[in-house]
Amino acid sequence: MKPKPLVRAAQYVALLVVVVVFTAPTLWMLLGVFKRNVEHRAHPPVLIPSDPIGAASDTIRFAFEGSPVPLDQVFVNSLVVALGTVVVTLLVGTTAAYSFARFRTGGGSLPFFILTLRMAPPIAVALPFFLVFRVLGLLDSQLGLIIAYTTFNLPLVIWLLRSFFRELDPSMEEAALVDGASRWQSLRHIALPLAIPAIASTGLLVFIFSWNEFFFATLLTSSDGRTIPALLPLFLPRSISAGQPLGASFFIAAVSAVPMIILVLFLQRYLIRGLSLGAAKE
Amino acid sequence: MQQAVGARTIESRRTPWLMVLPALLLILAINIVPLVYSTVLAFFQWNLIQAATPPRFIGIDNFIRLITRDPQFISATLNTGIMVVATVAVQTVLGVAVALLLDQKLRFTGVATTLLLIPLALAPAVVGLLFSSLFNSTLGPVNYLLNAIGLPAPSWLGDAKWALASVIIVDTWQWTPFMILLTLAGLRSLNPEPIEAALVDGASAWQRFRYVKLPMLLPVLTVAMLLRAIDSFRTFDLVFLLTFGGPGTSSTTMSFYGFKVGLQNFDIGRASAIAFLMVQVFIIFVLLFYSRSKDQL
Amino acid sequence: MVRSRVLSAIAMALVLAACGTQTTSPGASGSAEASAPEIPTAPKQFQDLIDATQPADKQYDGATVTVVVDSIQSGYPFFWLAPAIKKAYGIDVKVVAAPFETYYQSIQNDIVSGTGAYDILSYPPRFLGDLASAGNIVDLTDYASQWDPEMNDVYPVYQLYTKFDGKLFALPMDGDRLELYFRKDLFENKDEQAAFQAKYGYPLAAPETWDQYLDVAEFFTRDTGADLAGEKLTEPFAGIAEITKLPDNFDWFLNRFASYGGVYFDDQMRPQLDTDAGRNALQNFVDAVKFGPADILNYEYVESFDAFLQGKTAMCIQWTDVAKVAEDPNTSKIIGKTGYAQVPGVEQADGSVLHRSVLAYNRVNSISKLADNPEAAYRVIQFMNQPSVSLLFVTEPLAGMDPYRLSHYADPSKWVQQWDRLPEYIANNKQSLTNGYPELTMPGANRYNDALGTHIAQALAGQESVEDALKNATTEWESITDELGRDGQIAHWQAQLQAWRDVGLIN
Repeated sequence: MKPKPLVRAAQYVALLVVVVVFTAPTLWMLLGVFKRNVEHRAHPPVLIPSDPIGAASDTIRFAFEGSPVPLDQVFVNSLVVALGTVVVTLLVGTTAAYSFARFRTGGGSLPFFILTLRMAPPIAVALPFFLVFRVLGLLDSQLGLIIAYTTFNLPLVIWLLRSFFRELDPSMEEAALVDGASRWQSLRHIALPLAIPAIASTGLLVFIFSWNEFFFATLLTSSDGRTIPALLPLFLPRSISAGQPLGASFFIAAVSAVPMIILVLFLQRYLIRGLSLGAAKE
Repeated sequence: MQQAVGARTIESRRTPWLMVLPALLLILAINIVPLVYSTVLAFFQWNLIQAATPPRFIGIDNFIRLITRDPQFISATLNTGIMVVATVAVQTVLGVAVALLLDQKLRFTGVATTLLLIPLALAPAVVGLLFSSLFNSTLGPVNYLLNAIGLPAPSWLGDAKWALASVIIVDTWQWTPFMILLTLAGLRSLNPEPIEAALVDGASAWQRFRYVKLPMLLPVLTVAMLLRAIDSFRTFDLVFLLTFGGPGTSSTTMSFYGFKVGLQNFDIGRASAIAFLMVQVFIIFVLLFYSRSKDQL
Repeated sequence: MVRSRVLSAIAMALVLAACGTQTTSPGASGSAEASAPEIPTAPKQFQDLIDATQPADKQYDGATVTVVVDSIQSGYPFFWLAPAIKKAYGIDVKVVAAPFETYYQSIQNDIVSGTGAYDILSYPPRFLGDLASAGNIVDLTDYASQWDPEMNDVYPVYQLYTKFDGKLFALPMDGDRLELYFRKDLFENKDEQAAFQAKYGYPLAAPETWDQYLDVAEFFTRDTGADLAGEKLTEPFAGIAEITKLPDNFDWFLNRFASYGGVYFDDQMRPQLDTDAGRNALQNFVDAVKFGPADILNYEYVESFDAFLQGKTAMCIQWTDVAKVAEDPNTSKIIGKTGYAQVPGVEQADGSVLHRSVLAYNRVNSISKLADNPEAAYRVIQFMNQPSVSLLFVTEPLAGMDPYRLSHYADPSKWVQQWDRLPEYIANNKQSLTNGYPELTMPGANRYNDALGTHIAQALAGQESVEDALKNATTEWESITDELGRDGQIAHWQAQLQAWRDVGLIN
């Protein structure tokens, strides 16, 4: 039963609208880097910048020179914090996930209880972190943020990898056990190699969540420890001098966004699986 | 031989717990202890700025003050409630509708599906910044387009009646793709037999959706809606960059208010009380989530 | 799936390339303006000063001093003068900016948490009482006796902002007060004058009173398509621009409140907001924003002056520095068109008009108790505060600093930014100094301001009535006082009042 041509046409128009609505804002952000101030203020909005190269180079130069913390350092902070969180959560989370999947350790409710910590309102742990970190000297440090980000990423890692290990056929591991291998050995040599793609995807998810985090970053850093999102408010038009490139905030936003967009294109549907905590299977 | 088997059993009984031990210890240290600490603080008066005054136990005074004498807290609670209900409802309806469209045998749906991932990749803080420019009442492209097609163009972020709506719209922009892609995955994994049977019986497209597909999608949709509700309940980043809670307090959410009280005024006790109340609401969500999602996850 | 991934990647790349390579696009109007340099280099006078700087009596080789500022913009004076400080003392100056809306939090965080990343705090004295009473900043008295900060040359009202409990805790950097700016060209237009006279029955001029302010604001508020001084408007034109958002909106209320005769508290610290003065003031503010641009309720510093400089409003109440940017072609579309007047006031029984210009924000520099080398930090802020040095950054347009020394006004020819009506501007400046009305600097000031500002914003947004806003602010002020300790607060308030009386700010 083929739909009528008119219906088909309407469907294509709707599809076009959907694509434009969900992509145009991101393009507007990228476009902002290439505009002069007069174009930022122009009415109607400017879609084709007059001097994109010159404007972008001025904008970027201003972002580097004007940044209250060197931009490369902020970038490195973001990278170290995100990678650090990935390493910590995967190291600690993988064996736990395996154990929960294979042995139903702690029954069915313990993993679920852990999962809920992923969703708890961050303000509930933020104040204690602030109070304890100031005593331990962890404020404005990369380690402090890694600890904070582990609170909500470790539960995610455990939950996602648990559901993955459960889908893995246990017969090969059982065969190894019969042959005299220990549980650790069968995890190390049989389950783990099979799980590499899932672990990598989960790691990427953790990386994205940590890279994009704003609340703790604002709260727990003040100067040298800032990450890219925490730098954003400093480049809003109200924080820079009149006449400075208004594109600077778009540039910082793009520095944050573009690497993540690329990562997400690689993750594809695993992203939805991760975001839905496994409710949507690949 | 007997002995070896015994040792083996003990080893295998201990191993599962050894494997989870590091994770449990870490969770205890960085999740549970802070939560308990925060709960205790809710019963104290403690302002960090007055270095000289130590924390003082005041029972449930912080809670009484929040509920009876703090209109800002009440309005933040209301705003959060509106935010949760509106974002979940709008995103679910839009998400299902677009997913049905993408499920048609159209060309380019593959590209469209991929492009939908982009909003999900962005930090909410970035999205807030982006839309503060798009929603600019005089220079923003949104109002330019509205004017061009003859619609009224409100002052999105500068009008107390629209500020919370703006936050909801922006959240919807970022998270509807999640609902779309999730529903789409659900649609594609549906058992085709009942749908074909309905087709043979002459059911209309709407009937096939309403009575066959939707009931089959419902479990996974419910989980997704609850997840969105829980996330929306915590909204902070967007508000910080888009409206900073204003005009007035018209877009202040509970998280944002807790942040203001605790980390701008350093009223640790009262902020902990706000956090405590938020956790109670959160627990209700979690119980719902547990009862709905046991079979899904 | 792979195919679609490749396709979408190509699509993205194409769009990006399109953005990036349109170098020779047609119809690029205003490109001369567009190619103006946008990176701020220090005006020439700064380089002259750096060249002329000699090594000082004492060197601090290897010392690094970190300054925290509330925006990238307010860091410029330190950026520009860092080479001179290096030459004079061997000190490296590092500038860190923290977000404007959460600036108080950032400073307090750093000290309360013991992080100590900041040595010099550059902040508005509304934080001074909190910082000084908790012992979080250093008493500068001894340093000042050794290296003279030349405070006699500082206007007495600004000296006030550097002291707590009679002791010197800060050196000034900025001399703030609010002014009324108006579009001289429009106000002098014959047709507009006639139309105004016909409608309101008195001549069009910069408004003297708050009631006149509303008339003039209403008069100039026009829709797209209407005429303005003989030209057809292509976008709406508004009467006013003011700051309506925290952290500064309460100052725009205080202009009115003070001229209606209001004071913050009575002698026993009972809040005096819910009074005739309070109600008149807030009602006028609420009425006025109706004549602002559509998004006026989202206006902080930059948004509000930008609306005026982009030629979108007839009037603007703003800090003194805005006159300088108004004459800068990089930022202003209304060069040569700005008129200067006193912030409106209230007519008194004898027919005179009482103007009160709030001494709002007004950055000062203090030294954190956690500073590694407080003496080196003092030398930095003392260097910045010298008459010849501070003259440079208070008279240039970019950093947003304003004159606070008597000597800053002595010779207008030495100003970095020069324009035709500079003398007229200076005369208006000096007059508003005589009308100054102080912000609170006692402990808790920031919390009182925050509570008041929140309710003002709610009233402006129509979320609360004027009466309720003032009543609720009063309740919050009382509970803040109780929390901080009523007796101690009364003592601080009475000391504050006495200090104001001593310099003649209040009777």
